[in-house]
Amino acid sequence: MQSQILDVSGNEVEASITDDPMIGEVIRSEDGEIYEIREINASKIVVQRVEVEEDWGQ
Amino acid sequence: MTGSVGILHTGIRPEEKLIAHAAERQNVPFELIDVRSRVLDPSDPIWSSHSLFLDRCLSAVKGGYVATFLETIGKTVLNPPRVSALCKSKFATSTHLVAKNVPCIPSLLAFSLDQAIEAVDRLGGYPVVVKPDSGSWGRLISRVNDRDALEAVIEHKHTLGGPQHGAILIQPFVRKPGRDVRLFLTAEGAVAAVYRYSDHWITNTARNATTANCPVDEALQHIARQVIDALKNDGDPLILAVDLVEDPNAGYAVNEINHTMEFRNSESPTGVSISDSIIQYCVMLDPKAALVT
Repeated sequence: MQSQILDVSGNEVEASITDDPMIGEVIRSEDGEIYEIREINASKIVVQRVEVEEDWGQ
Repeated sequence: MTGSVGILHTGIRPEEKLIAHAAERQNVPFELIDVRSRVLDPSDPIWSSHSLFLDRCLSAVKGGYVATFLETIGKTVLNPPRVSALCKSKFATSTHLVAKNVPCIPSLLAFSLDQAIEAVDRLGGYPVVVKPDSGSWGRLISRVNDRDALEAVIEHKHTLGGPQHGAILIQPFVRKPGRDVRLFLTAEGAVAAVYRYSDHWITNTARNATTANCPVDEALQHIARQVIDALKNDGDPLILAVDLVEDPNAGYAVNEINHTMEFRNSESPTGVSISDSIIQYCVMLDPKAALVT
């Protein structure tokens, strides 16, 4: 079962993570926001919202 | 630890996870190095811990700085910073390839509206595509059908954009057959290719284009070899994705080249593990990378 995903303020984020989550992984929430995984433990995954920067991609 | 592949990254995408899993499958030691967490200090032992570095930075700017730094301290970086810098500029890529007789979509650069109007004339008129010289995921790419639209786009760029938006890349609008081609290659040759299909004229998977296998035929092998010959310098290693358009009369033309390419949607349709190919190429380049002592 996937751990609960929370932002740094403790709000739940609706997102799915395929494969094993990794610190630094960039994920997209169901409402289209981009988050980066900051912390992983047994009960939760803590993510922080990030802005897409102009030089990202490929 | 000596040997092993240092995988340079900022935010981790599915591609970096695929590459890490490929290294695990092949028993190739590696270390994921978040360049945002390291000071670029030549005396930091992390830089001497690896014989080969693979630039997988989501941020092209940060990746460029780190690759250049590592090369100056004598490390091998894939891709070399010279190649990354070239690929980062669509205009530089185009002019370099054209000078080497590689077929490309014609690309002109303008700094002002007057120059842009002249560039459109030189390209044969409207419609044209206006895009940033550096950018990805199909962002800020505009199909411009007439002079009114050109004036509007350029005024917005000059008023709302940063200094980098003062460089305006202009190409003729190519009527693609609902798809383009992304060709993956190393300096050894073509690895795989996909068609990218979309109902929209922008056929980027970041804009919901779908992928299907594109057989690597003689024509694709040929253009892969042309691109490799144009970019390879003194045996530089290369691992790239070349975006191509198809012209029914003239054949393939290069649109742009990606130096930290995304391929999450390309392994399944092609049946080719591009991530495995990347790790195999790293080991071929530097067999020490596969050893831990």
